[in-house]
Amino acid sequence: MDGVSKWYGDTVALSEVSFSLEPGVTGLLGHNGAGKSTALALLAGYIGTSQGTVRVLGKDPRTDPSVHEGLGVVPDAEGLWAFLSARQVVQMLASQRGVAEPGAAAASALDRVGLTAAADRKVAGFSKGMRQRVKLAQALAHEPSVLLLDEPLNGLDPAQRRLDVELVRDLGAEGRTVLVSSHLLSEVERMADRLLVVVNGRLVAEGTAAGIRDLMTDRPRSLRITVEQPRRLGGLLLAEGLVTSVVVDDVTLTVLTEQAVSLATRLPGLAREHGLLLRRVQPLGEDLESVFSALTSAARGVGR
Amino acid sequence: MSMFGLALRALLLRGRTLGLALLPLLVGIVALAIALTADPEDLEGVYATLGADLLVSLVIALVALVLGVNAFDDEREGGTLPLLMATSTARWRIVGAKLAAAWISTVLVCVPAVVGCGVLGSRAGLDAGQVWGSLVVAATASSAGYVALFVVLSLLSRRGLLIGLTYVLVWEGLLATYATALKNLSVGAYGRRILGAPWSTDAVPFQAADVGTVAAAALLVGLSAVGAVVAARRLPHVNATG
Repeated sequence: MDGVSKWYGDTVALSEVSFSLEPGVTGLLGHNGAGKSTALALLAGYIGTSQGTVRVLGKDPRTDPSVHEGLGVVPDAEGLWAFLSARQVVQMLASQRGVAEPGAAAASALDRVGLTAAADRKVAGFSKGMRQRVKLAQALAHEPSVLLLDEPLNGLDPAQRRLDVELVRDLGAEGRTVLVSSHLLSEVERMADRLLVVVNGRLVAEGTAAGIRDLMTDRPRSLRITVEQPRRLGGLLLAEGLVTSVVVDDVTLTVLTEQAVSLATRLPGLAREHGLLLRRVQPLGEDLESVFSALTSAARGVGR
Repeated sequence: MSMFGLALRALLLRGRTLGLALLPLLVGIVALAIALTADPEDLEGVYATLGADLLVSLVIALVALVLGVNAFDDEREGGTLPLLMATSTARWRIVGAKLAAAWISTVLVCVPAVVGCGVLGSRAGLDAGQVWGSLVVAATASSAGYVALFVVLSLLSRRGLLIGLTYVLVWEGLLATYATALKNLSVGAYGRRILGAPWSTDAVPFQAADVGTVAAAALLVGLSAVGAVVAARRLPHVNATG
């Protein structure tokens, strides 16, 4: 993907995004609406770019359907043909991707996702998790070298999630190029060694999962501390250089720190040494949007 | 399963299609009832009205509208279009399968009305062979023309059903059926021309396009072909994510 932007009227869904993928699993991380699905839809050829170029296996996925012989896609949409069985869905799509023996390919793919027992049941009666597995099976049946998985763990129970995490890791270990999207760092880092972080349509960070996590840990954070003498504790924290600012009211102290880990380690001891009773320590702005927003401004380029 | 088989099942295995089939079934029952009970001398006029003004201008058009527009809209709304577009099948083949499925579905759904009108026409003192031949050709050729038009419409606009319904009711069912100046400007006009084969050209008792019967059939086939080409060129530009 090179300099790709996508906009709908005045709404910018993706802005100047460039990246390339290599064999192995790459995670595409971002909050809901960040542009993950747009990026995947562009790579799958579902939509065209407003600007920039997209190439998958050297082909333009928007204009060259033959790219799908080597590309497997698990789309975000939940739809499947309810009147078909899981086997019929996978077999039909495999045959439409040029597989010579679609029946055998479908059986193998359904077995891989653990749906052999239910393969001949109509999809209409499937749970969301089972439907997700049918979508995964159809993406695997033609043995693609590139896979695009849009939130593949959505709707799965914890046991299924664990199995699918393993499956995705295995696909990467087999040498396939896998791009898997998620809005959960904890989830995506279990599958992917390398992460792309998208915020508000922009690619703000790219690197290893560990690097991205460090970046998130070290970002400036706000904490609200409920304590008996907030003014005194604020002074102590400033004196120790653990916080950069404090706001005090009757019983709470709101601090801004760039050393969250050091503060968390030192705070209980400091309070004890000075006889201050800590009642509550509450992190502020810990939702993903805040985390990603911090990355936008502070973390351009782990590995970029 | 082939793309055509999938498209056909997707259209026919729906409660909506069964509901839609009630309209031609009702027309067929009414036509049969009239054919079996009315005075044979009155049947020619009734056949002209039911066959031309109702069957070709309205019933086939409405059935083709629903099935033609939904050939792709069902996939889009059901979330299966991304799967369909994630195949290496040439886009013109997908369009061809959808058009063929919508066309055959339309013809099948309209069979009761065609049969009823055929019985009515063959008891009206007209040449029975010509009645049945013209009726079958008019129904199949009109279906093809309408379906092509509505499939293209669904790929050009998300409001295909609404625009198509307005077109059918206002243009096909009213203006082009009754306004002489518009007699060459509708799909139904060419279908009616074919339906008028049992009568001599200047004695056709309803408004029809000003061309020969064979030319009318050829024009409807040509319209379908043009529609297929336009749809095949349009499909790759459709937003498959909805």
